[in-house]
Amino acid sequence: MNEKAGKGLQLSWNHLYEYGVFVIFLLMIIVFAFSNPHFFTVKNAILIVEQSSPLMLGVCGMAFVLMLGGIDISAGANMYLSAVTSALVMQKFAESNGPGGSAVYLIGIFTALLVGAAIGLVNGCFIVKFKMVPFIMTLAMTSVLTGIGLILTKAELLPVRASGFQPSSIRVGPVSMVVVIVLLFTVVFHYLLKYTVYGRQLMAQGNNEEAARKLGIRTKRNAIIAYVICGAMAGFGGVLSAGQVGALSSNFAKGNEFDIIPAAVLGGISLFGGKGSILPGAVIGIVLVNTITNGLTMMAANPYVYTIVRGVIIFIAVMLDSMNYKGELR
Amino acid sequence: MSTDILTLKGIRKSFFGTEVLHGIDVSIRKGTVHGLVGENGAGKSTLMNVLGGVFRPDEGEMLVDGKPYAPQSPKDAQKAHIAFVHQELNLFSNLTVAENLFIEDLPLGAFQQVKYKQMEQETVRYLKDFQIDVNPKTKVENLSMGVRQSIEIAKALIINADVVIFDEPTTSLTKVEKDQLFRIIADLKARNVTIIYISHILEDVFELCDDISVLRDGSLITTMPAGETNRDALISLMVGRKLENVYPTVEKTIGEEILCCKHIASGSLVKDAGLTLHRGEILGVFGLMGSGRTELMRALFGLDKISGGEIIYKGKNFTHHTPKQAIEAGIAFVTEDRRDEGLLMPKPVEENLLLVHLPALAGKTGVVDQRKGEEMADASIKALHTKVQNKKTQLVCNLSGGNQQKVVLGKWIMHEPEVLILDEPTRGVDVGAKYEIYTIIQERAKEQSSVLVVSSEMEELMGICDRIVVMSAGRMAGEIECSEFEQNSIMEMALAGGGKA
Amino acid sequence: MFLQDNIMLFVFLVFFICGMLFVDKFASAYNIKNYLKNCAPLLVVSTGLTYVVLNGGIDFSTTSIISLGSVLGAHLLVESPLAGTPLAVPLTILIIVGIGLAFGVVNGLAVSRLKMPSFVATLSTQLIGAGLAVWFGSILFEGAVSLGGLPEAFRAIGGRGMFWLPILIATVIFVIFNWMLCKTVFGKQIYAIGVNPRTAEVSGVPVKKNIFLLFVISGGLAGVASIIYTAKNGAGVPTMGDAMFIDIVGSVVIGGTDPAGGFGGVKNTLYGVLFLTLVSNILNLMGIEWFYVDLIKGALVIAAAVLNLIFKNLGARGRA
Repeated sequence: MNEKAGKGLQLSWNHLYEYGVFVIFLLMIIVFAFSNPHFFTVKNAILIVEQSSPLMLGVCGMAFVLMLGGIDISAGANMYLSAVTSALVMQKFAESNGPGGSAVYLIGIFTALLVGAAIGLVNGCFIVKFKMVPFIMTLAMTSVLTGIGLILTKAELLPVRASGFQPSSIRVGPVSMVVVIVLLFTVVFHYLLKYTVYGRQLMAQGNNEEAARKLGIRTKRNAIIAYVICGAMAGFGGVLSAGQVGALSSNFAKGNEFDIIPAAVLGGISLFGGKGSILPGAVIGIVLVNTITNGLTMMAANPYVYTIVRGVIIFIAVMLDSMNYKGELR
Repeated sequence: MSTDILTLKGIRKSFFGTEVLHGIDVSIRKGTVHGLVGENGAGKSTLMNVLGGVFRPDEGEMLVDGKPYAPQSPKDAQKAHIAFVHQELNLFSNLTVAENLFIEDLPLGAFQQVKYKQMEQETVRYLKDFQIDVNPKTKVENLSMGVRQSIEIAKALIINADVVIFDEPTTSLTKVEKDQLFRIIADLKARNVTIIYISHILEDVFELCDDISVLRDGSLITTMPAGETNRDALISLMVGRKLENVYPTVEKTIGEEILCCKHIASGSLVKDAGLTLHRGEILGVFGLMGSGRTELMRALFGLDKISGGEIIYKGKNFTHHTPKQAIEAGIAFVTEDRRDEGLLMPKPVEENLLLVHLPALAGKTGVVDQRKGEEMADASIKALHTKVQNKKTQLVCNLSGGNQQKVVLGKWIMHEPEVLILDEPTRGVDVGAKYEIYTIIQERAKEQSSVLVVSSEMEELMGICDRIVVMSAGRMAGEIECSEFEQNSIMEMALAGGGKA
Repeated sequence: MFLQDNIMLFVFLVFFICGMLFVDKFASAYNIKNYLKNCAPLLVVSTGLTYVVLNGGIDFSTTSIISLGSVLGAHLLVESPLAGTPLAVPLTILIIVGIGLAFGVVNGLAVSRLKMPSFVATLSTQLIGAGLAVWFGSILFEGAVSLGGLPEAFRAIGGRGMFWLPILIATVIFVIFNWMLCKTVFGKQIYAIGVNPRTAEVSGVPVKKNIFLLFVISGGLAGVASIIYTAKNGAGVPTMGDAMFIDIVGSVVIGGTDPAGGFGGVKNTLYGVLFLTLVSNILNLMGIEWFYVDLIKGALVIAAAVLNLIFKNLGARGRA
């Protein structure tokens, strides 16, 4: 290790890495603000926050998996399947008990959390116990989950509002209930990662798993829990997002992992494990991603420009993250 | 006689089919410093890992304070107040000093939250014992190696240990840090804490220890009070035989200079190193851990970048090259870490043997001559007496350490290198295979190859080398010809730079 | 060893015989021709991916190379000034392969030089490629979903009139790349890198250069597959590759190549392609809906990967 010579260089990369993201953020806002008078308004800002919220839960969960140096590509499919099952359960519940009140959507949320956690558990067990490559496992799960979702809905549009599930219409000040719920959970998960034994030990094993195991940290259990958290939060995000959208098409939440993962990486959470935090990094990340999408929409860009921009964002974010990486090239 | 705090009975342990501990019985008296010495690979670290709950023994039992003790994990060892300062650092570079100290048992508040403030205050208090002035909020990645080592030690002491195991604790410490460590050990002893001290630096062992146990090839040879033995007696117990019997000799001639490097600087450990190597010569490179010996070899082979100085190879400048170019120029490198850098563990013997020689087997077309490859693999297995049943199906990970090392040697020798660099060639290799490896080295020299051997076993170097150069703190500390080999003077040179700077 | 290496061949044969015996319309010349024609492009692209997976990496961008090649290829053949000239078909083929190679170069540099993990590097190029494909499609096709009317000479590559042509192309590519993997220095070094890149580097393997080449191969072969798919389809479609990735990676993993790298090979991928395409074919003939098919494929990938790991562990522990 070239410690002294390395330090100067490292510092400058760190600076670029830390502030580069915000510079991009600022530049894009300026461009959007000049190109559309409606972009730089309170109303639009609220819209961006509303749209970011369900995905923010996904980012919270993903943060735990990324801390391990793992990945969960099935997050989008998880959101879809969790939303579908909870919508169906709510439908059944409403049918047998009449259009219920608040209890119905609590059951919906509960169902989504459960389904999401179960998916996370399957991912975690296969990845940790069978040592499967995370991106292959979760990629295969994406197919499986989407398949199950399509079977359950018979590939037809599934209405959500009909079952009385509208937490997105409850206003709390200028924003909806969804934003408040998400903020609450963001704080909770930030706390979990930063201030609890579990979170600290997860960071430790993400940095040096061998050492963590030697110290008697239960690395396997911790890793499985991380995947469960990731799954449960994707599920929760799915049901909240479903409430906002109102109906579930077969494209619902498709590719959301491509927003969630770059948001986390942009927020300073390393793909190589052990680095980053939820507040403020990940929150800034998801808002940034959504701001760009929103700005492009306002510029009336071809929808497929988003996909390209998304790709470019991931590339740049991960490139900056990889600069200091010293391990294997895969 | 005081009472025994620790009793080990009939401890056996095997790895990958090779038994490395053959039934160890040892008792350790309470409140003493107990030295554990032996050659590299004698089983010291394995035994301590069994004690520390890292490995479970295949057979045998342990008693702590007369009560049965069967740790399933390092955590169990901690519960029994046995602390373990590992040879390699087990720190998390992304966490702060305080977090590292408390990671196993973080102080929690009413909401299960980590009490950072309390933790940081305690950290300051603990580090004061070491006279280390570090902000507990500093991330470990920003600290020097010496400070990291001290933190590792502090971490072991935090659990209020009755027994503290030190596994080669001084290898990466400076002289000052080492004195601090000895002071702490004396302090612990005064508090009736039992210390198990593993080291290959015998002077330290005599300075510190009340009792000394000697391990050789996985068996306990003897345990005795330090006052009843001396350095020479201990060495002969460790080696178990007279030096002159162990090493094969061959008639050979030493030719002209082939490799010469001057003022090499590389990474943080190699500062100003140089050596010359002649045809047919076996040159030993001795140095304590952290002296930069391994790093110098890596730089010579082109694995690490060279930031200063130059290498002259066969009369031409050969300073900035890749490993591939080095191999093409006739240099071979048997690395220190056989499992992770020398072999493809889950692959069969043949695939491993042919890896280096592939381009040569293929020639310009790039198509590998399979039949010739098989012949060469067979020849290598035969020449080195490697015990292999089926070279195509038997995986290297299922071979014993000695046979694994022969596969590594085989793959390099197949390429008929002119310069053979060996880094700890007999580490983790049983005695019989060691002798064979020495023979192989001598034969290479006889055929006018030049050999560079790095080893932390001084006896080994004295047995096989024509000349030894000593490295200390990234610089050359001296050079001794075969006729003048003497342990004390070599060790003095190695220690001249104050261990690691 | 033989059984373990070729287990998927036996599984495939059992399924094939069962298909012959129990599935309606399976045992017809038309269906078998169709089946083989479906195997051909998948084999080409999966062969390329196998190289990347042998290093423990992945190349998501293959699907977008297929889409992008399809869009630009159709445009060049039908609407560009080039259309109708005798050079149109060969030039188009070169350009599509070139697109694949270009993606491969970007991916390869990102992984070997910028040290980016391949799954995100290729994920981003996949998104960029897929976006470009649809964007170009919307500009070039003037609102139409696809662009047909490809010249017959081009469609022959997809098997029109000569059903054996795509099969021949795929076979030739398979043979070449299987040979390269088994017999050449480059091929053997890939296994070494996949198992342990540090050992490989010490042993003189140009690790970075080889990793770079893996992605170039994968990209180039995805380009070739794009040509066959487009020719077979008879039209350029901007979303052609979108749903293909599970088949491509499925063939590689189900065939028995270890996703963690170092074990398996192009031969395994052949079995994987034959088997997975057979499953699709049979399910299709049985009238099973498409979303069941996806579910089954995903489950097969997981099952295959787990079985693989069990085999590998047995091998490493077998002889002590």
